[in-house]
Amino acid sequence: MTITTVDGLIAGFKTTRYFHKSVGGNLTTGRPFSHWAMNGVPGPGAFSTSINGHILSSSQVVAISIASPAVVSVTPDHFLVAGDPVYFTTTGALPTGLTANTTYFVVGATVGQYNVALTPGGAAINTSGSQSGTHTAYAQIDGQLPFYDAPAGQSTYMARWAASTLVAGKLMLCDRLWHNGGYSATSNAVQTCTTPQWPDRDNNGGHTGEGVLLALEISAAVGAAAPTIQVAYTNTLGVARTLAPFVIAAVNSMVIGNFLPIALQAGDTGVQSLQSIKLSTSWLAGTINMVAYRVITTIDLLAAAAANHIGPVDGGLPQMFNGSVPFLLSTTPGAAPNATWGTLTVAQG
Amino acid sequence: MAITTLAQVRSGLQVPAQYIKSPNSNGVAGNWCTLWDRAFHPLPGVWDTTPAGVALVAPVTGQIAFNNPPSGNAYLARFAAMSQRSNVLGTGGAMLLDRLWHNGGFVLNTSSTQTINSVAFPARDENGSSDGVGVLLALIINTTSTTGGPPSTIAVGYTNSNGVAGRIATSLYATTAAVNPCHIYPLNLDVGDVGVRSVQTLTFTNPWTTGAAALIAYRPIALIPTDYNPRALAIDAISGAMPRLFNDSVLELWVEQGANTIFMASAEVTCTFG
Repeated sequence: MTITTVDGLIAGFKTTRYFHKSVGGNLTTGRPFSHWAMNGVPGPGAFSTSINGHILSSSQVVAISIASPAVVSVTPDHFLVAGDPVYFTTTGALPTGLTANTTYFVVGATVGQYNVALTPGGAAINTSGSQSGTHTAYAQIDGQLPFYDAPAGQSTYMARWAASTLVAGKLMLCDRLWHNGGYSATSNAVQTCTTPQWPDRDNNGGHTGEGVLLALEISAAVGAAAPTIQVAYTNTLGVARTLAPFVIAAVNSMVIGNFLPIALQAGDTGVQSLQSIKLSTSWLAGTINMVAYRVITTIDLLAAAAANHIGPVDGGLPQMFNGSVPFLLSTTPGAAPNATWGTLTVAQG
Repeated sequence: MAITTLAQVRSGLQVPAQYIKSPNSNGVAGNWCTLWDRAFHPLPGVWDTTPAGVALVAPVTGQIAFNNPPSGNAYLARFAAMSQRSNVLGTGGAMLLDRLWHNGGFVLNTSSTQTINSVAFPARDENGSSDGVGVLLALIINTTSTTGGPPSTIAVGYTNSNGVAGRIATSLYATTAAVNPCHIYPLNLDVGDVGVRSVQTLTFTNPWTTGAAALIAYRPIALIPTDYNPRALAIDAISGAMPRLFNDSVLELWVEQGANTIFMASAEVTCTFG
């Protein structure tokens, strides 16, 4: 189903949600900047330390064992940590011991598995009896703008977005599909990874990567060097591509949040998986991560402290797929620390 | 019941509520300010004098007029605002919000942790409950300008919307020494949190030496740009996405200032019931 009428839009409007983010370190003029790890509302997000990374999803189909304690299993992995709130829905029946739409807290998280408790750090819950149907776990990823899936048979669209910032520029609303870590920022050797299949959130709601882009995000300040990069990826047609560079050059001493998009090779329209990166020289210090993301929409902020907004008509109702992990990127002509705030409203139908 | 058609939006439209106020001191460009306790229309709001504060339930003096629907729900159908600062294109924003709670009775000149232990917030979080989802905190300089300091951190201990205590909210932007009444310091949430259920403590590091302030809990309703003097900008039911206003809402206007000067702000708020 889809929204095709004004009445459908009116019926589908959901709660308006507010965000603000503070940027503590200096930006780099003209380079995108990720608000993922910045303090604010929501609070800061974390980075993966795994070279193969984690897919990021605010909803995941899970299997729940009938055991003491119950084990929640996710394929290939989740990105939850102890204390994260999570709740479950099902198309059938959850095992005895778990109730749908009740908030639990993650305990005992390992790769692809976790337990849940009634309180943070509490005793892991035991399950018994029988179960049926497909179970889905909902957990907002630290750092993401809140997002909740559409009911079965419906879709979600970005309906209204208003924002302001203390530095003029452009603000992009993006869906963060995957990120990794574990790279050496001081190595100029080829560093390889085996990425999991992207979640079904490319431009077509699939995982072949249409519209999915790559970027290098800095999570701890790098040194006074400006390497180039060669990225090997597989495009949407499954063709291996190599030597993809930065869209815009790195500069010395970039701080956390600096976000350097990777240029696609000629004819490519997206990325299906990442195979390796190679820095031309050592970055001397710091921590770097790769991110797979999809741009949902952008808004122009024409001057400092000058809000702007787009609505469902002038915004074009871009679709946001189930499990989305929305986050913000900004590009400014200045380099000063700043703050950004705004609201986001979706429509479902 | 809920409004699901344009015809229902139209049939449920209410008389617009008006707002026009002016501060009596300079603010800070790029930061938020509130005219809650300033004169004209609506009448000046008052502040509480206790750390535990007071849950705010309409009608409250100082709020933008809001009536509960006789049945069904209330939605924001139109919001227009104008902020007079300078004839510069696109300078600022206006935010309509629901003020759920505010307090007073604490001091700004101590680095000791001060106990707040707020009263329960009204059931007006984004789900219409008192869990606190979407409820945020801010520190507002209210009756006396600050001097000294400024604090390197404002740390508010709170319980999040999942009932987890010991969470810490900190200021969105840096504090400054001399801040006039009306200035707002929005507070960041702790990692992973999506709202605030209650407040327990307040701590300043390197505190101010004078000044007076209050904490407030609020839920943002809508944010719109403001344009150059004297043109108002507006959203309607479609472009504004019709955020819901829960019964007993205490509506307030915040203005994002484009310059450090005294200004006048006006707004018009129209609801639809259905």
